[in-house]
Parts: sequence; C-alpha cells; structure tokens
Amino acid sequence: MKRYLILEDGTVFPGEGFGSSIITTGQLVISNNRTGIEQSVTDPNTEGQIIAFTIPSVGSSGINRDFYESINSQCKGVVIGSSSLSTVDSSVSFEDWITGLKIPGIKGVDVRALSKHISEHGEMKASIMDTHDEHAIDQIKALVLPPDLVKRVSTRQSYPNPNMGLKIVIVDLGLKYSILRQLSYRDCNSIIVNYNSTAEEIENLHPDGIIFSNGPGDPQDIPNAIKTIQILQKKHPVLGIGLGNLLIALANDCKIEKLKEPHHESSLAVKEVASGKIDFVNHNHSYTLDQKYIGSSDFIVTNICVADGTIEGIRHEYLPIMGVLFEPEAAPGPTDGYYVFDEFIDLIESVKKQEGARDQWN
Amino acid sequence: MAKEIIDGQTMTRALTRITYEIIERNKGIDDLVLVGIKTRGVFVAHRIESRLKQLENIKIPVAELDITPYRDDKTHDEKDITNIKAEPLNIDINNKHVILTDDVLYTGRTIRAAMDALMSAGRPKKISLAVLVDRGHRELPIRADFVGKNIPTSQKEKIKVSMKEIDGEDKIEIE
Amino acid sequence: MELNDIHTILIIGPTTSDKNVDLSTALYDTVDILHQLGYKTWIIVEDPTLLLSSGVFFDRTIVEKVTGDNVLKFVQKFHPDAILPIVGDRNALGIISSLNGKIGTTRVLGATYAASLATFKRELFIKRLNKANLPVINFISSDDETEIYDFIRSIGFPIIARRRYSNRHSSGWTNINNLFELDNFMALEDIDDTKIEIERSIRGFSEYSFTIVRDRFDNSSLIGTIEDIEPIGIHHLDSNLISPAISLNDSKLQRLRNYSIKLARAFNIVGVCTVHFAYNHVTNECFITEFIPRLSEETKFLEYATSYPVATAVVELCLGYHLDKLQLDAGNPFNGATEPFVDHITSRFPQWETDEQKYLGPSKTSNSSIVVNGFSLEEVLNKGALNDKLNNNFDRYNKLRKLDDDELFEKIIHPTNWMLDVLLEAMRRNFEKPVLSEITGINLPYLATLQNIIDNSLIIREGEIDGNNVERMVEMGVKGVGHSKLLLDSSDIVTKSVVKSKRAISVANNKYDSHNYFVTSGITNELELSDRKKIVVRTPIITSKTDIMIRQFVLFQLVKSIDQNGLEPIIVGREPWNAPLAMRQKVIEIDDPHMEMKALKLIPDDSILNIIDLSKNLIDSGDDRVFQFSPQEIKNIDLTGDTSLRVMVITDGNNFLAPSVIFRTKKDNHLYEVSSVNNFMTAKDRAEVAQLIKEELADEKKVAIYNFEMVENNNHWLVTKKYRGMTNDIIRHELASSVHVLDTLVKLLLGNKIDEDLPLEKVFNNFDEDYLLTIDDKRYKLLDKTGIIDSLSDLRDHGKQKNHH
Repeated sequence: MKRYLILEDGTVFPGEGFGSSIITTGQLVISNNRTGIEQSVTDPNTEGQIIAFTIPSVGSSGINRDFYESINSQCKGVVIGSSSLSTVDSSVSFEDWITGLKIPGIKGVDVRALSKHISEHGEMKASIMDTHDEHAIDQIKALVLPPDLVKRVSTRQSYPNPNMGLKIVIVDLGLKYSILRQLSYRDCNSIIVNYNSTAEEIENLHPDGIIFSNGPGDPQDIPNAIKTIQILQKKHPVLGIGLGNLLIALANDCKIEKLKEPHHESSLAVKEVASGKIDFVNHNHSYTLDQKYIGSSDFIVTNICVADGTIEGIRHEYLPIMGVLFEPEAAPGPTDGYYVFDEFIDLIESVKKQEGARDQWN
Repeated sequence: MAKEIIDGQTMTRALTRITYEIIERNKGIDDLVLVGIKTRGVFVAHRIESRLKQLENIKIPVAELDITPYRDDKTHDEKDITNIKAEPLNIDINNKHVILTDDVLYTGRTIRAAMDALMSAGRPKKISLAVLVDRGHRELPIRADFVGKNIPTSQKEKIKVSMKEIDGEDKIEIE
Repeated sequence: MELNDIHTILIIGPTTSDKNVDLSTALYDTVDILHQLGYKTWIIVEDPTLLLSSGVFFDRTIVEKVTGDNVLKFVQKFHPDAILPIVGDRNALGIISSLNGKIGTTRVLGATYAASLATFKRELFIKRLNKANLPVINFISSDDETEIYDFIRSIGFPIIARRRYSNRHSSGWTNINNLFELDNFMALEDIDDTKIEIERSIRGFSEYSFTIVRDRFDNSSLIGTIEDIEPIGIHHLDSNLISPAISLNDSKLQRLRNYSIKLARAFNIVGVCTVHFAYNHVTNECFITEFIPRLSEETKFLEYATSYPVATAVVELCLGYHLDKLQLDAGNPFNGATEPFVDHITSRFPQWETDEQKYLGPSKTSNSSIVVNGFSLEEVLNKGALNDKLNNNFDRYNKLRKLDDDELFEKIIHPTNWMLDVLLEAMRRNFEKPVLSEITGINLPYLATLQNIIDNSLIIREGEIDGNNVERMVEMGVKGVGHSKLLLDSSDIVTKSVVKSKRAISVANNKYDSHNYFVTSGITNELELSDRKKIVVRTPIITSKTDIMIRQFVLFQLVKSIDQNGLEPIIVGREPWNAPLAMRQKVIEIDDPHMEMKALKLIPDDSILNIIDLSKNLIDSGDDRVFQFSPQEIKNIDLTGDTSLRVMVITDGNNFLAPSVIFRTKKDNHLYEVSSVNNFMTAKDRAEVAQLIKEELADEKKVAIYNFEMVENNNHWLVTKKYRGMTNDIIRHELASSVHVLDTLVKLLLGNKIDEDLPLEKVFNNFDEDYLLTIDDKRYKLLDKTGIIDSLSDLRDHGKQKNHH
C-alpha cells in the first residue's frame, strides 16, 4: 500500500507501507548505522523517534533477538530504502519482524534525498500517513511532541543486577542493556534506579560509583537529575554516558547546544586527547557540549570527534567525574570504546585507595 | 619463556590514567617537573609530558637522571646502588614539585639513589613517584604515588618492559 | 610526524604479466603524492610504457626484469632509503621476502618481511596466526598415522585430504565427511615418502574480505567490507562481489573487524591490509584464509565504492603519517580516520571472453570485470550480472529452459559462471530455495532477490505494465524499454530515473569531495554542474587489461586538457571510471550502465560543445558534435617489409601535425623498434612521409586523428595501413607526443586551427628527451639523445646494406 512520510516543513516522501498500518508521528532521526537494526529499534534512546535507516538492503543479516537493548521496541516508526526479503541465518525477515513489533514502516523511500534534506534543514518532526494533503501537513505542524521521554523509558522501580564486584548505582534515563552487559562482564554489582531518585535515596544504596545512563530527549527536561548530580558528585565517582554526560555538564554550570549535523552513526572516529589514540565508536546524540563553557570550567576535554571536532568526552580536573557523549557500550558498532568502563572502574579504585590511605592516617 | 602480561594498548591506557591522576591531585600543574630515571623512566616521563601538553596545553620540563652511568650492562632489576653516582640535572628543581618516573618499582633502592641525586641538585618542594609497574618486594620504605599496574611477582621472575622508543613496541613481559 | 630519514624511495613496479591486475591509477596516485611531498622516487619496471602518465614523476626509471636479484643489485648500487612494494602486485611481496637481511639500512615500507613471507608460506602464516590467537585453518602434513589421526580427532569432520609425493607433486584434494570416506582414503596405498596433508574443510562457507589501513601509532580504520555471492571454493575474483558486506550482523561484523586489526598488528603492517574470511552462518565458525598487505584489485574496488583515497592514504601511512593527519595533496589536509559510510551497494561482476559456460573453482578464469552501483540487490544484479546487454542472459535463459530437471540439477551441483541464470531457471521451476542455498552455498537473501526479479519480470512478460509496476521496474534497475520516460514529475512518484552522488551523507564524509555519480532511481536528482561549457566523454565497457590501461591514460589526459582549456569534463561510462585523485575534483563522472543519460536530459544540450566517444560503434553518428575516438580501419594492404614506420597524425581538416613516428626494423633476426624518430629523419624521408599523409588526408574535412603504417619498399615508403581514430599504439608512442596529440585534439575541437604553411620540422615536432628502444616487443631500453642517434644509425646502416645486396 502506498504511504507517505511527511515532514514538518511539508516535504513529502512517498513509499510503500509495511508493518503496522497506524498513523504515527515522531522526531525523525537519520541513522547511518551499518548494522544493528535490532539494537536501534529496541534502544530506549529512540523513544518517540521515527528512524530512517540509510543503509541498503536492510535486514539481510537477519534479526537476532539476543541483541535487544530493552524488552520492548521503542521507536515510533522505521523508514528504509530497500529491504531484504530473506535472511542469511534463516531468522525472521525484517519486514515480518517489524510487523510483529506492531511498528509502522515505510519502504522504497529515497532515503538519500531524505538524509540530504535533514542535513540541510535540521532534525524535525515527521509522520507516516496514508495521504499527503494539506490537512495532514497542518496536523504535523500543530503537533507538540511530549517532553516526558525519559519518564516513559526509565524504570519505575529499582532493580538489582547482582554480582560480586563494585557496587554501581545506575540512574536509568533510558538505559541500554549493553551497559549492564559491560558492567556484568566486569563483575559489577549494579542497582538500577528511577531517573527521579533523590541523592539521599541513591546514597542509601552505598554506591562505589554512580552512572547516569544515556537516554532520549533534552536534558533540560529533567532538572531534578541535575540537582542530584550536584550533590552526589562531591562524594562519589560519577560516569555520565550520552544524556548523562550532558546532565553532568549542566550540573557544573556548563552549557549544551544542538549539533548542526547530529551524530547518528555506528562508527565515527573519536580521538583520545591525551594519547592521540583513535577509536571508532557508536554515536547517537543530537546535542553536544558548548566548547566555551567547558574551556573555562574545571573539566578537561578527554575525547573529541575527529571529523567535526565535537567534544565527545570530559573529565573533572580534581573530582572523580567523567563523561562521554558517544556510546562506549557499542551495540551496534565497533568495540573500541569498552575501555571507558575500565577507566571508570580504575577511577573508583583510585578513589578507594586514596580514601584507604586517608583512613590509615586518621 | 617470556609471557606478555601487558600489551601496547593497556600500557597506553595506564599512562593516560597516571596523567589524569597527576592532574587530579595537583590543582594547578604549573610548578611540576618530570624527572625520568634512565633509560625507560625517561620515556615514561616524556609520554606523561606529551599527554599533559595535549590535555592542559602546558609544557612541563622533563629532565633525565642517569644513576647508573657505569652499569649499563646490568638489567634494571639487578641494579646495585653501591656504585651509583649521579650526573648533574640540567634544570632547576628548587621549590618545584618533582615527579620522578621509572618503569618498574622493585626494591626501592634505585628510587632512593635517585632521591639522593635530586636532593644534591637542589631543594624540591615535593617529590612524588610515578611508575609503570609496581612488582612488590620493597627493601626500603618507599611507595609510589602513581602506579600504572600492580603486578604480583615472585623474586625469581623477571619483569621486562619494552617501549616503542627503544624496543620498537610497547609491552610488558614476565619471564 | 613522518619518518625523517627517508628521502629516496625505490618503487617496485608492475611486471608485464597479464595475470597481474591493473594498478596504474594506484601507481599514479602513489607517485603523485610522493612527488608533491618532496620525495625522490625511483622505479624498477619491465615495460616503461606501463607507467603511462605517472612516468613523468620519476627521478630515475630502471628498465629491468622486476626480480629480487635486480632489486638487490639496484639497492646495493644506489642505496635508496626505502623500498615501496605496495603497488607491485604479488610479485613485489615475493621480492621483499627474498631480501631479508640483505639490504642493510634500506627500509621496507608497507609490508614487513614476515608479512610478505607469510603470504607465500602456509606454515609461517598458520604459526603466526595461532600465536596471535587468530582463527586459522590448521593443517597437517605428516606420514605418521598416529599424528594424522590425532589431528583428525582434534578438528573433526568434514576435512579435505591429499597426498603429497616426494617429487613435490600432489593428488587433488578429496572431501572426507565421515569415517567411511576416511577409511577409503587411508586405505589407498602409499608410495615411499608420501605425506598426507589434511585440513578442516571450509567448502560452502561464505567468503568475506575486510580492508583496513593502519598507521605507525597503531590506529586502524576499516575502509570497507566485501562479500562474495558465491561461497568459498570459487575464486574470489570469479565471484560476484558485493560491497559493503550486507549479510553480517553487528556481532559478526565487529568480530571480523577486530580480527583484521589484530592481524595487521601481529605482523606490524603499517599501510593497508586486506584480510579474507571464511564464515559459516550455521555454526558461526570463522577462519582467516589469507591476507594481502598491499594495494590490490580489492583496494581499487573499494576506492571506487567508498571514494576513500586508499592509494594516497596508504603511501602516507607507510611514511609514518598519523591516520587523522594525512594530505590529499601538498597543503590540503585530509582526515583518514574515518570508516567510510556508504548508502548504496557497489558490485563487481566478473566477465569472461567467451559466451560459453565455464566451470568455476579455486583458480581464476575470468578475464575482467564490471563495476555497478545501486540502492538494492535487485538493482545491482539487473545492472550487472543479469544485464542482457553484457552477458546475453536472454540467450542463456533460452538454452537453460531446454534442459530437463536432472540436467539443470547437474548445473546446480557443478558451479559455472552461469550460476545466477541457472538459479533463476531452477526457481522458475519451483525448486526449493533452502535446498538450492545448501547445495550452492549461495545465501538466502540472494535467492530471495532472484525470486523478486522473476516475479517482477513476469509482470513485464505478461504485459501488465502500469504506473506502479513501472516504478518498481525502475527501482529494481530494469531498463532499456523506455520505462523511465513513462514516469512523470509528480509528487506521487516513488521512483524515477535520477542521478545520485556516490558520496554518502555523513559527518565523516564532509571533507572529501568527489563528483562521482551514478544513474539510479529516486525522487531527486543530485547532479550539479558548473556554468562552464562541457565536453562529454563517453566510454564503453572494456575487458582487457591493456585496454583498461589505455582508457585510464586517454581519459586522464583528455580530462586534464578539457579542464585546462576552460571547459567542464564530463565522463559518462557504462561502468565507473575512477580518476586519479588529482583529477577527482575537476571531473564529473557518471556511471550509466543502461546508457540513459541522453534520454534523461540532465545535461543541458546547448551546454555541450562536443562529445568524444570511445566506443567502437556509435549510437548517434548523426550528431555533428560527436567525435569517434576509437579506430576505424580504412586501409589494410597485405604487404610486409623488414622496415616500417608508424605515424600518429592529427588534423584540423586542412593542415596536420605528426608529432610521433615509430621506426621498426629487423636486424640479425631481432625486431627493433625506436620511438620518436621524427627529429632524426632525413629531409627526404620527412618530405616523402608528409606528402603521403597529405594524399591520404585529401578527403578529410573534419578534425580527426589518424594512424598510419608505412613500409619501406624499393627505397620508398608505402602506406599499408590507415586507421581513422586512435589505435592502441597510443601507449607505444612517446608519452609526450601522445599527450600533445590529445591536447591538440581538444583544442581543435574547440575551433582552433593548425597554423598554415608550417615548416616540416614543426609538423614533425616532438618534445621528447628520452627515447624507447624495444627489442622483439618484449625487452625495453630507455635511451638519451646520443644513444638514440647511435642505435638509429646502426639500424639504418644495416637496412641500407641489406638493400644493396
């Protein structure tokens, strides 16, 4: 059935519908991910988004349910050019999978033209519909996307991911399972809490370190989390990933800004400033840190994106706080960024050692 | 047979972490001076220096300290301090915070000799110690402030540090 | 921070063997950047004409057989600071592995000794990979039964086995899948000293290749991935290739990426490394089958596919540059730290010279290849392997249709180059896809693609074409019946024929500009043209290595002089032309496998000054602006003589220039050929040849290129061959003359004229300073002016004496 992807500015991209036939609206995001459709569709960061995948022959590699990043699918729609009707590992085909998830999709779209349009005009709202008359376009223009994205994806109740190592409290802003996978691999004894948990509630869990996870939307929509960081960062090692990193910056009087060209690509080069080492990592962020503010703050820039110079990682000069904007847990993308978790654990242990040394003297 | 226990990437990361810790524990790194103990300690010093420069855009002076001018044939682990005579330093360390760097911390005797040499060259405000590897078996009350990696060893084992500048590649082996 | 102690670099050049691939563009890019960065470059090469345009860059050209001994001799004599083997194909790596320990302080760039040696020595390859914990197919060669059975127990079935005899010959590999087959194999009687060789069988595994670049500081980036439609067992370059690899999911892709980087690290390869994998999607087993630490057919293909300047980047990495601080040219920085993102599929389809079916196996049989781009598998298959214009697929269809099921099944079991056609026929007969996939080792997504093509071509055959179907046809790359014309410019149209850029839209790609386009389907057109007037150069599909090299040369020179004369060069080809990097900013290149550009009318007709067509047969000879470049034979007299001339002529329809004359003669049963004898011809010869040309050109009123052959007969020259257009001789003539002719051609097409009444010295003027002497068409010598005069008089005297007898 012929359907239409209609952008907020009235541009129409025709295609053929598949998956659910409902009308859907969301923030349109262009994803240059090479692989990992499974991860993207189930990534809580994509809550409220319509994702346009720009790779050709989507789904040839099959659908692997072990790759899920949350229990349910999260995005509001998918847009593709060509898809594969069969899979190399005889798993379910891409279109059948999307149908099963009850997500609306549109294929045969000129995703290249779409991607070019967005790179010239910026990210915007979009809708997948059956018609493309003026009424439909007006509807999209009038629609306000809800600002409570984090609330919708964050866990309501705390839950543990038990192990024998360091106690890590993860503030769930839209946590990807792969962060837990990385922590489990490092024997961390994690507890995952709601995004609105207070500093006191978190401290009562006696964490060795605290992670503010990645998540969807604008960090300014969740001011409570900023306050929580301001209290906790003085006493505990803190790692911010993606949205978590933006919150850390805001908690320390730095500003953030929207990227002219958003980073949604599973393999972009990031350089470690100290050593010059280049790593390829997954990026999925539309905001970045304002260079001016970071420059005059107590943060040092630890990582930058090689292609456009965007700040990708920071570290506090004397408090044990670190943050990265990219996704060190990969999923999808190269595994070069896993070391960030090792660094955080080193940071925790170094703090512990210093405390131990102090205790001996006191 | 030599067994690689630390590869190039891990060594790179350890040096980066030491650098972060140096920044973290020294509010203002203006009065820092790096003094590397020859041979590989000097490379450690230079690598930390280049990281500090990249991160903070500050150039820290680096000096070389040769405490075994006559004993180049001996491996580092076997250093005997009885004959040690230090060459003069080429930078001013008076009232500076000196970070002494070496590749392996073992008995502590090398470090003691290095400190003697430093004290005879001036009066530093403070001396800290950064090492790539701490392998235990101290014979003197010396402790490193910054450690890349703690590696438990028996006294029979040898630790061999290779660095790109001189050995062509970065790695640490145990044999 | 480059390596400071390197100033002179010896490049191991190409051999004349037809087995080697054409790396002329890579060679050009390599020496161009070395030249710009201020290095002195020397090259050892067998046939200096192979250097073509890149020849101008070399500070010293050594014409010798490209062997280890000659390289060693040269190194000992001139002491270059470094040797660069990456553009010398497989031969160069063999030479490097033979130089171990013999070349003193001269460094080897790109591939280390160990890496070079391991590409030849299987045992070393296995040992190194095992040590680095990389998956490799273990192999045993033994005459000890206990050892053999131990080994088989450790790897399990299936295995392949063969006997190696003491004379180093061996039996063919036998597939062994169970105990029964093993017993049969072992029961065969051994002759003395026979060893049994056994390894794990990977028959039917899928084949992938990953290419990474790596700098001296251990930063690596994955430049591209390729997958073979055909499984392991069929030579990589006889397989249909798809890039990027679309059948690897995230964990498989990252696993192979990490292996590739680890392998380059294990051999400390600084530069480029292509790693081949065998992957079993059922068991998830994976093995590294080989690696290539140099530029190759694959890096060339990936440079087409991704627009990443592989050759230029790799040579800079070899010299110690940081991956993120490379130079596109001197002073123009380039970030090489990207893993190029592509939003389309690029595909390489092998081509055979014969129409007959060829059985495929581990040895390469194809003669050349065609590269196409598209946004879906259907599109690239329809443009390439199933493009009737290229492969006579309709003819194949008719032949296969006549087979009965058993005969067809036989074709499925024994793979030929008709496999995709065979599968189409099998699916028309409703053979089960999973069964077909299991037998052929061709993965299901490809079979589903073929099915989709069958289903849609039925629509055409049954004549039910409507707007919707046409859109689908266009989307799937089925062309040639005027479908695209049916589509109107309405917002309801999902796809129509448009031109899209090959550069994907990504933060990482912003910095490198190229004007490479392909005709495909979509809703918007991306072709961007300047205001300049245009000369369009149309190129056909070509299949031989020599012709490919000539095309590289001709296109490069044409584009250069079109640009220098203030016009915009547009290359429209049935397959892509990858310009040398220096030209990529200046030329607009459009891949147009179905020749649709004209019908699409995207280039304003009045902006086109001329069309230079390189095809053998013109499609629009009526258009006055079309200049046919390829040769038409006009005269061919069957007269041979011991001494002859070959003359290259360009005319404006009135006057002419003859900047290059080749002299050929026989002496003591050897054939000698001397280039650029124009300057040394006697006045009498010159006048006589000029007169002959004038007579032959009497009827020519237009701008044209001619090539003549004249044979000496009774002390006079006689025209025996006459071609209108440029023959393959263009690379036999001196480089400077050929460049001159092409540049003059562009100028004449623009309306310039050759001066009237030029003295003959000017007509035969030639700018050359060194001269090529060819002996028996296979040995070459470069001579200077005195050298050429001496050998010429020597050869001429000889000819004269003979005439007197």
